Amino acid sequence: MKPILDVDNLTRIHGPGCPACLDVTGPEHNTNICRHCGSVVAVAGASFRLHKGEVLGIMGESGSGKSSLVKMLYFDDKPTSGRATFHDEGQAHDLFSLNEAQQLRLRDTRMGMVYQNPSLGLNFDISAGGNIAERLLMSDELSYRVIREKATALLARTEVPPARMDELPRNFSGGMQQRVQIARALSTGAPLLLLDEVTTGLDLSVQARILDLIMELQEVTGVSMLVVTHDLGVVRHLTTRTIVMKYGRIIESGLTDQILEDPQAAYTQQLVSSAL
Amino acid sequence: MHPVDTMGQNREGAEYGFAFLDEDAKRELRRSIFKAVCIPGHQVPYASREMPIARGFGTGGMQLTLALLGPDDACKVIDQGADDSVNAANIRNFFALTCPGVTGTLRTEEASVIQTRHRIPELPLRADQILVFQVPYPDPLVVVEPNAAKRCRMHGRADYARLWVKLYEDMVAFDEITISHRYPTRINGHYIIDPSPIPRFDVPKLHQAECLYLFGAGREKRIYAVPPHTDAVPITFNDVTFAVESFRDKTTGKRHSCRRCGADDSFLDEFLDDAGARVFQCSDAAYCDMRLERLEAAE
Amino acid sequence: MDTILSVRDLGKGFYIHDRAKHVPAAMGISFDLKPGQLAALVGPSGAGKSSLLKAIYRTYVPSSGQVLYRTAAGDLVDLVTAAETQITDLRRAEIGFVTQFLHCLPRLSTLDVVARPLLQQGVAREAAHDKAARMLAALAIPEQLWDATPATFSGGERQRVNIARSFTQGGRLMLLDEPTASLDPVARENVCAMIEAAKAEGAAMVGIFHDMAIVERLADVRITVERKAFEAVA
Repeated sequence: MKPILDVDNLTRIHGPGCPACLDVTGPEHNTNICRHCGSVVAVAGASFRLHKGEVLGIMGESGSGKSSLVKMLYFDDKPTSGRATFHDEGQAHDLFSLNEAQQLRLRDTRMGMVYQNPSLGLNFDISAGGNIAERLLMSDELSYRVIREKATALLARTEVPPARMDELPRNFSGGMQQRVQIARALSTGAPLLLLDEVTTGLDLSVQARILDLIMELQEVTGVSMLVVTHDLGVVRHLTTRTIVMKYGRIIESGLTDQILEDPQAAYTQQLVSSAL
Repeated sequence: MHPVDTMGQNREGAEYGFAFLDEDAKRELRRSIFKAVCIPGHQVPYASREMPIARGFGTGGMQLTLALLGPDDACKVIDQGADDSVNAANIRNFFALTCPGVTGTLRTEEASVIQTRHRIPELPLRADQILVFQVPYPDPLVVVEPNAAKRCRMHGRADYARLWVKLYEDMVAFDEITISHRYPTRINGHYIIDPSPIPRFDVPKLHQAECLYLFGAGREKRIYAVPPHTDAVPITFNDVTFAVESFRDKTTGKRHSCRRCGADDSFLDEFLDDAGARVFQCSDAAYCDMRLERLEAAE
Repeated sequence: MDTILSVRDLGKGFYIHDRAKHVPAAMGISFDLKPGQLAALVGPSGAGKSSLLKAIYRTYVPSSGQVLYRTAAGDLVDLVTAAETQITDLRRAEIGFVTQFLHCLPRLSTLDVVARPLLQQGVAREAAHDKAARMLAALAIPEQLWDATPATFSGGERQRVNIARSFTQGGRLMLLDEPTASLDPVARENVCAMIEAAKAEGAAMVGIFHDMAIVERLADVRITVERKAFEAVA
């Protein structure tokens, strides 16, 4: 399998930072907060590789750094140090050395993100179809007819009733808002999709259907995905490999079924055995 | 420091500088104009001075005109095409008071500087003429992004997708683009401007023109320009044609003409006459007058 | 024919952190397997047979030993140390595991569940559904149930769907963890027939069966698994 994303020693510290920060935080110290300078070490030295067509789970509880990690990859936040290389169309993009225009260009056309909170990923002042049109327009599609057709097809794919495509998303249920987000994320045919707790907070029956939809779309399109979640069920169903994070560090990584059935690290054992 | 021509006196007997503004103010305005011309479509921030009329009545346009006028210039002021509206007349009188030597004129072809609100004259302007627009809202992105800092960055990246989304929503709702004035227009392939509340009819006049177009927003403190021979393209989808007002009668399909001079190619004002009938007349008064003159001369 | 699987001294023990406890390892087992052969792991309950099977599949991390597998391409790979991506590829294309439980999402019909591995391999929808249908018929799942989701089935029915799926996917190496455990005699007979058919087509299998008669019938190799003597906590 070819790599699509290489993350190398990614670190994010909120606050002034000091030489002791990394040494006094982490799973052994049971804290994210540096006792010398008060900085919060959200992510420390995270390294992993995502392969083309793979679904990688990033699992952890609150404060694990999983969301911070993905935020940096989507340019919603800047790392303190570290690198991420995105391999796309024969090129290797050193993501954090690109200028803002280049980063946003990649983000708009070659990456997709689905947020836990739909208001972060959708524009609530334009229609559902308009949200998809916006992303298509950002990737230079300028034919109205093509935009309309693609938006209709994508919403149909994500099971949003076509009769509602011209409505504002604020009138939709949470599950349907997520579907619009997914449709929007897929609209440019981006090879990399980031999903941040996308089913958290939804009703259980809706969760199951959305997970199923994501799985089917992934199988059909072959898109590579990073799935951030604290939910073991989501990890089991969607991912083939998983990394487990605690207090900003990756403490274990491996095949998903192995992580869930034969966890090696202490925290992973604790996490897995806590499932209701 | 240039010698100041002291011209005339106000009612209290104090002396004005030429063109009301001090020379430093004029210099800053000219620098801003120069920068605007060098970067077509880019909104240049400037220190907009307090003027003796309220904001919203053309202070931006006035500052540009005052910076440009010299004693040899001829100046015309129009408002919706008319020289005799209260606003236009007041501004013209102000110029007369503060710029001795400058000729006031009603004729488009005689003016070297024309200050306008909401219309471009029908007569194509020459390379030695400047059209100064009074602009209420300089930034076309203000309708889609309330944060000024973000708008700046969006302009820098030419990130205008959200403007096109507005067009998309129009097409979905009405099957056509319904923007009637302030139509977003792309200048020189990069910046998109708000061309001020001119009707769609006038937007094509911006494209590859002989004259210089300057836009001044006094309240918002921005100057921008469309230099001569510059591309100015109203934005649309590549499968939706930009259309101007047709002035076709809904029943007969015939294009209305001016009741006064008979022009069938000008932008027409539609109103009810004293008898209550619906009539059409050239919005550009000077153009109408000129056509009438020619018609009368021909007889 | 070449050996397809060579297990060398494979052992599996657990360390449970919050009890600081070692669970003793299943003893190191060794055996060779050729295509078309079935190796049965036999031994007392709790000896660790299931753990060893899972260790071959890498669901469990082996504590010791090697699992040398000859891929379709002809390479010899130690599944214990192979890269996760390689394991994923092999699981998708060559190595199947029949679990005791069927995990499925409520949205998929039985036919879809069974056909899914083929669809994942890129087989056309119709061909995949055809093979799935044949499998379901062979295991006597009534056709009117094919559109329903297995989430509503009984344990035995789900197990048969599970088997149907695994055998639809097939594979050069199949690992079977008590496949006949909750089945009635007729279903058990169908499954045995399925196993024999797969063996005849060249599949190699490692299986755990609680029914010794089935072991007699199907196994070419028998490996006895005993638990190591209990070791004191460190």
